[in-house]
Formats: sequence, C-alpha cells, structure tokens
Amino acid sequence: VSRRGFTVAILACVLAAAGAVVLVETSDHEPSRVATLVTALTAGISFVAAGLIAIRRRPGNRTGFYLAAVGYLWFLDALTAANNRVLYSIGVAVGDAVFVALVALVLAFPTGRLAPRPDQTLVKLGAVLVLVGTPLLLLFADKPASCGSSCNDSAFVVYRSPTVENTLEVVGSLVSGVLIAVVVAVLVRRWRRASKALRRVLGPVYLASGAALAFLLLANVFSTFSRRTEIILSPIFLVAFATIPFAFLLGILRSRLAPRSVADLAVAVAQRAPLRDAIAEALGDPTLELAYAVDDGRLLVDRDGRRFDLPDSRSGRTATNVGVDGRTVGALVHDASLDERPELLRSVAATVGLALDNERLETELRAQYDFLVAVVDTAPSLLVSLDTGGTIRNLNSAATTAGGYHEVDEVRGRRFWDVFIDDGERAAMVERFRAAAPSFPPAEYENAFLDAQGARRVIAWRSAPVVDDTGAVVRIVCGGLDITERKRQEQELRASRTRLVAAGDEARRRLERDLHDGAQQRLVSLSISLRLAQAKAESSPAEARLLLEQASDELARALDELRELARGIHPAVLTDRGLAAALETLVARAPVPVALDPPSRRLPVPIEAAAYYVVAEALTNAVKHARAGGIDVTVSVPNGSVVVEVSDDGVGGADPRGGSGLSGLADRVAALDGSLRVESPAGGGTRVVAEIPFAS
Amino acid sequence: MLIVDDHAGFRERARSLLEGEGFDVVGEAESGARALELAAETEVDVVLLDVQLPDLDGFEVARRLCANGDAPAVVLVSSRDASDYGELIERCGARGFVPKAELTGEAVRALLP
Repeated sequence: VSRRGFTVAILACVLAAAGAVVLVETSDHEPSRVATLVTALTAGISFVAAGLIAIRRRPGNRTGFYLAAVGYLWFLDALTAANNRVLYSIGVAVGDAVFVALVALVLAFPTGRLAPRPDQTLVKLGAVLVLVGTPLLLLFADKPASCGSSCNDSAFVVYRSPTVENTLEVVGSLVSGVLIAVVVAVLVRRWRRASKALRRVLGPVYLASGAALAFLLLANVFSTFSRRTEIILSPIFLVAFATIPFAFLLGILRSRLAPRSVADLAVAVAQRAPLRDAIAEALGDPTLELAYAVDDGRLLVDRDGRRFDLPDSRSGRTATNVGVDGRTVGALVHDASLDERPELLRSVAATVGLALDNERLETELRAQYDFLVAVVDTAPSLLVSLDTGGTIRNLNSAATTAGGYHEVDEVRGRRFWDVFIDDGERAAMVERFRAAAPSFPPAEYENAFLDAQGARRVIAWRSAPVVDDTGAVVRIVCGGLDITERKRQEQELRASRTRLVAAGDEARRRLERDLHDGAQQRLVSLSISLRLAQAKAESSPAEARLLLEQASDELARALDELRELARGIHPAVLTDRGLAAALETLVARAPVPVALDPPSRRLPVPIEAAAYYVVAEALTNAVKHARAGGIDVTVSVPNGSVVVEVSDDGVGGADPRGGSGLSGLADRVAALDGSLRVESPAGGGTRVVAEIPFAS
Repeated sequence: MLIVDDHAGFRERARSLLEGEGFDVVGEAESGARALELAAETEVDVVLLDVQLPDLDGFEVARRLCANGDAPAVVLVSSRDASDYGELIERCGARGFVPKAELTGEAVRALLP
C-alpha cells in the first residue's frame, strides 16, 4: 500500500468519524448519544489505526486489512442514528456487516489466511445471514419491535407483517447464535492445538474476542426474549469490542519480538524439543508451518501425511527450502516479512536439516504403516499375530469375522487355540505350539472348528516367526485361508462322483439281469422247444408244428425285448437324428398325452443325452408314480444354456432326494455344470426343470 | 427227478423234454427253500438245479443237498456258461453243469454215475 493510499485511508477514517458525530448528535431517536458516540469513535478509530499499522508493518499479512475493515464498517453503523429514513434503513441493513469482518479477523489471526474449511465457509455463511437476513426484515417491519424507542421508520417496507417479522427475527437469532457457537468451537480447538509460542500471541486476542463474542451471544439470545437484558449487556459488549484492536496490536508486537539465537535452536534440536515450536521461536514467527518432502521430493505433506500446498505469493507467506546433502527434505513456511532476513533463514534451515529429515522419515513411515494397515484389513486372508506364549496380539478383520466375532477387541489378548481350535484338538495344538518353541519354524496346519456363532469352519493356516535384531522370535505371524466352502464343494463333488459311478454300476447290473431274465430265457426256451419239435417231427408231426409255432412267437418276443433293451441303453435315434427326433419317439410311446415343444437345433452330444434322460425319467415318474393325466415337455435354448422342463398334472409330492432316478439325473446334470430343480407340492403336480449351460 | 427253476416256462419245457427221454419227473420247485423241502419229502435221484434262484443260489442249495449221506445227484443248469462259474460247480458237490440251451436227457445222463 502506497503512502498516498495511507493518507486516503486516514482521511476516510477522519471523515467517517466526523460523519458519525454529526449523525449521532443530531439524532432524534438515539437514547444515549454520548455513550454511543464514545464507544463508536473508540472502536472505529482504534480498529482502523491498528489495521493501518499492521498493514504497514506486515504488508503480506491480511490481518491488518481485516482490522481496518472492522473499523470502517463500525462507522457505517452510525447511520442507524440518522433521522433520514433512507440513511437509517441503509444503516440497519449494513450495520451488522461489522460482525462478519470481525469473525474473519479472528479466524485468520495470526497468519492472515482463512482456511477453505471451516474458516471461509463460516465467513461466507455469516455474510449471507447479515447481508440478506437484515435487509429482508426491513421489507416487512417499519419499526422492528426489538429496537424499542431507538428506531426510525424503515424506508423499504413493502408489506407490513408482524408475523413474518417475528419469524424472521427468531430464525435470524437462532442461526446467528449457532454460527457464533461454531466459531467459538473452532477457536477453542485451535487454541488447544497451539504451541506455547503461538498461545502467547493468540491469548490476548482470544480473550478480548471471546469476551465480545460471549456478550454478543448472550445479547442475541436475550434480545428475543428480554429487551431489558439486552440494554444492560450491550454497553458491556461495546467495551469488550473496543479492546479487541489493542489485543491484536499486542499480538503483532509480540510476534515481532527479536528472534532467539540459532545457538538456542541447535540446543533445542539436540534436546529433541518439538521441532516446529523450536523453529518458530528461533524465527520469531509463531505462524510457522513445516512441510515434509516425500515421494523423492515430488510431494510435500504435513506432519499427518496430508498433502501440503505451498502458499502463493499473494498470501503474505513464503517457503524456505530445507536440504540435506543437496536433496530437499522439506520446507519452512513462514511470514513473508522474514524474507528480509535471508541469513537467519539460511542458518535456521541448515541447523534443522537433519532433524526435519528425521521427522520426514517418521512421516513417511507412518504413511507406509497406514497403507499396510489398510492392506491387512482389506485382505481376504486371515492374519493373526501371536506372541511366543500363543496370545493373540493383533488380527485383521478377516480373522475376526472367521472367528465369528464382530470386534477385534473381542479376540485380542486371548489364546490362539481358545479362539480358532476346537475343544478336541486344543491339547494337541498347545503341545505342537510348545514343541515349536523357541524358533517357531514356518509351519502349515489345517483345522476345523466351531466359530463363536456355532458355524463350522475349516481354515488352512501357515505360520512364520518374526525375529528381532538378536534373532529371538518376538511374534509368530499366522496367515489363514477360510476353506470351508472349498471343502464343502470338494465333498459334494466326491459324493456326486461316487453316485455317478454307483449309478453306472447299477445300470450295468440291471442290464445284465434284464438280459438274463428276458431275452436269454426266451432263447433258452426257444432252443428247448426246437429240440422237442425235432424229436417229435417223425412220431407226431402235428405236435411238432405246434411247438414250432410257439418257438416262432417266442423268437419274436425275444427280439422285441432285445430292441427295447438296446433302446434303454442308448436310443439310436438320439445319436442319428438328434434330441428333437428322440423326444418325439419317446413321447409317442408314452401311455398318456404329452405336449412336446422340442428344441429347434442340434446341441452338443452330452447335453442332448442329459436332456433326453431328464425327459425320459420325468415321463416315467409322471406315468408310474404321479398318475398324471397330461404332461408338458419343453426344451428351450435361451442364451448359452438349455432349459428342459417337464410338468405334469399328477399327485405331486415327489422327493428329489428319495428316488435314485432323480438324484442320478441331478448328478448327471451337475456333471455338466447344470442344475436340476424339482417342484412337487402334494396334490399340485410335479415340475422338473433342468438348466445346463453350454458354449455355443 | 426234481426240477428247480424260478421260470415256469423253463420248468415246463424241461419236463416235456426230459420225460420224452425217459426221466421220471416227480416234482418242480421255484425256489431254493422249496427245493430243499421237496428233496427231503420225496425220494429223488437227480435234482436239476438252476444256479440263479430268488432266495438261495443254486450252489448253496447243492451244498446243503449234498451234505446228507444218501444225497441225490445234483446237476446244475443255467442260461450262463460253465466258464462264468469256474470251480464253484465242483466245490458245491454237484455232479456237473449243463447250459440250459444244450439241455438234453443225454447230457444229464452223461453226468450221472
């Protein structure tokens, strides 16, 4: 800001003060002119003065601008004393803007910067409330009830409504009360996190501002309910308010104290004092921030590993690089005024290089640790860390879940075998564990146990020791895979294979028996009949002819039976002409009416065979057991799978697990990765649906 | 002779064939248990015994028949071949085996003492 700018600013202040004097002195509705004038002039002038001094001394720090803004806006409030209705109304409309500037000032102190959140958000909300809320009120009330006798008439009334006015006043009071409370909370948190040096700067400011805000809060709360309390509190508030700029001046003076010597800093670093505070003290800049270079210097982060963006040149803050052996390890971010002392910055940076590098490494380690924690907790494997006594020291969420628990703390501190091993196996496990001491070599182990919810789980474990510098085992890390589902599937697969083999054996046995009892017997009889006929041919030709006729019939029946049998083994038409034709002949032989909707295309041979046997078996069951009067058979080929559906109107109540026929079919279908479903409510017919996928 | 077989058709034809060749068929049985009963009640010299019966198998029936001192001569028959049974035939005490399709009085007589 140029010298001329300062002159204009001072002139504006004098004019504003003079204007305020005139307005208040000539006011026909201001109840206590002298008191109002004294406080207004003290507050306005002191804020503007403090602001201008701050701007002069710390051109990069916006604190000065906020101070001055509070002062000028304070003068505007004097417009409410005007007798002219328009001036008065403007005064009411913008009078509260001073509080927005005040909030910005307090939140930005001492760096002069407003953080995007929550600072900027709070200031914006305050601005909206003051610049929209108050003018809105003026549209509905020419004399707000809360101002008592010290009011002029609003020039902007468009519709007079006490209801709207009261509602607006109550809502406005509540919202501003909440906003102020949030601001106080933010400041309290900032105070609690501040270092000793920073507190010395913040102290006087927070005390004065806190007092002012507390009174404002009280005044706001009471104004809605009690006019008298507000009258008592308002002067107190004004006094507290007027002391604020002095507090800021004090703060600025303190932060301008001469920097401590670099030798003191070296001692503090050697004693491992908190680094930031020690550097802040050495530089005399309580606003100092440290940034750590990570990722080979590509990224700056703060102490908590969060990304740190260097301030831009207009913010009044600059960064000084800190390097060790030619590589950047971090940066000191400080007030721009320190740039006038480059030799101080250089020696401080050189002194703290190694210490900053150490903190940088810690930060990097912490980030890596956080990353590892995230990996461990999202891993599907069970991870458990034991001490050499078998006590669980840590575990991830997968292990917690596998144990049947919800919280890690339910498991931590318990013995491994009390959580993950069944009663029966526990003693053996403990023995195993003890025998592995003290080296605890890598081991594998598979066990089944009942988890805390009573569910049976099978876990495949692997363990390995973690050793310290001396080679002694400090932890045993166990990784486990929950193979419950895999085991179940394996078991199901084995059972299904066994059933398929058994079904094959059974089919061959039946075939041998059918051949033996059927065609073979007929051929034996035939053979004997022929021999008898031969014996009687001479002595009794008539009898011999009869025997030959019988033999001929016998032969025809034997052929029929052989044909039927061959068809049962594998229908030739299925191989030669495909599923549709095979189903047609199957349906034609059925003793009850069957409606058939066959597939429109040929399918892979195993699929056609499976579909054929599903239909054949379902038809046999429908006729034999369900006593069906009508049957529907549909074979459709939707995307990538064959759906075979056989439904009848029979008695229902079929149990898919009972009959070997249906369970054999289920295995056959499952062997092709398909599924078989039987719906058979008693009295409601039976519906057999097989779905078999295939690569078309 | 006693004919033991669970197929009525075979019993009937075997009876006409063997009676035509001079055998005196005194009874027929359709199961192993019935065969043992009849053999105990009736005096039979020869039992024509099917290997496959619904209750006991022919070898077991033969073993029990031959356990007595004055046991009848047992001739096993089956629609299967002798090679299907191997040493079982001799071990059960039977005189021998005739495939059903080759059954004649002559074949049976050849096995008797």
